[in-house]
Amino acid sequence: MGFLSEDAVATFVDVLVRLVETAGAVIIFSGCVIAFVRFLVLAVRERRVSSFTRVRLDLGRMLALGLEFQLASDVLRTAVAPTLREIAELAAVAAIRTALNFFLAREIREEREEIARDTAERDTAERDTAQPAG
Amino acid sequence: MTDGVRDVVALGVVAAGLLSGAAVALVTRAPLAGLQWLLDFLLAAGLLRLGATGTPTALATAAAIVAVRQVAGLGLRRARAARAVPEPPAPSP
Repeated sequence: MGFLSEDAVATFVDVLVRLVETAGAVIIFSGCVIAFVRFLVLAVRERRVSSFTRVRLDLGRMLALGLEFQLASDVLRTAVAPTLREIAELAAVAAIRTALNFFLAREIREEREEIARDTAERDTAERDTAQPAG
Repeated sequence: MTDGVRDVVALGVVAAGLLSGAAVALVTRAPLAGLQWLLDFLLAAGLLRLGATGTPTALATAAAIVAVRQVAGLGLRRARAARAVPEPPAPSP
């Protein structure tokens, strides 16, 4: 059963880790590129802060998704981490990413609520302008 | 993805963040919006660097960048929330 040797499993997991980690990096980079392109369009067409905030929210979502992939690669790496030092480094990176994911999700939720509040206030103001009292 | 490529990509993200952050601040005339935009790009660059299997020093550096970004972001949100609270009416004579 040579294909199930420790080395073979380690090599297979290493390839998987690299694939998943690269996918995470590609997602993060794509998010940045998309945000930058949308910024260019918005800078020419609209110049409202709320439009840029929406783009930032989408970028935050992409970052969170990339982080999930990177966390998945950390989990995969725990399958083969022979030394205590490697496990400690892995734990540090995983802790940082988990904390980041938490803060990023909270930030996205807060920004989304703020946008919803602003939109509701604007709608109310527009309705009041359209239907003056009296 | 090799560490060299990752570093170049992260540097590109930082450059894009600096450029677009400054432009957002100028276009919207809201410096805080530009700063938040820049911080998001810096976070992305930090995440890209964090993926590299580097030395503990590199890891600590990436973590510090991310921490600074989080603290600055929190400060900005608090400042904006404080400004959003309406001022109390002036006391009547």
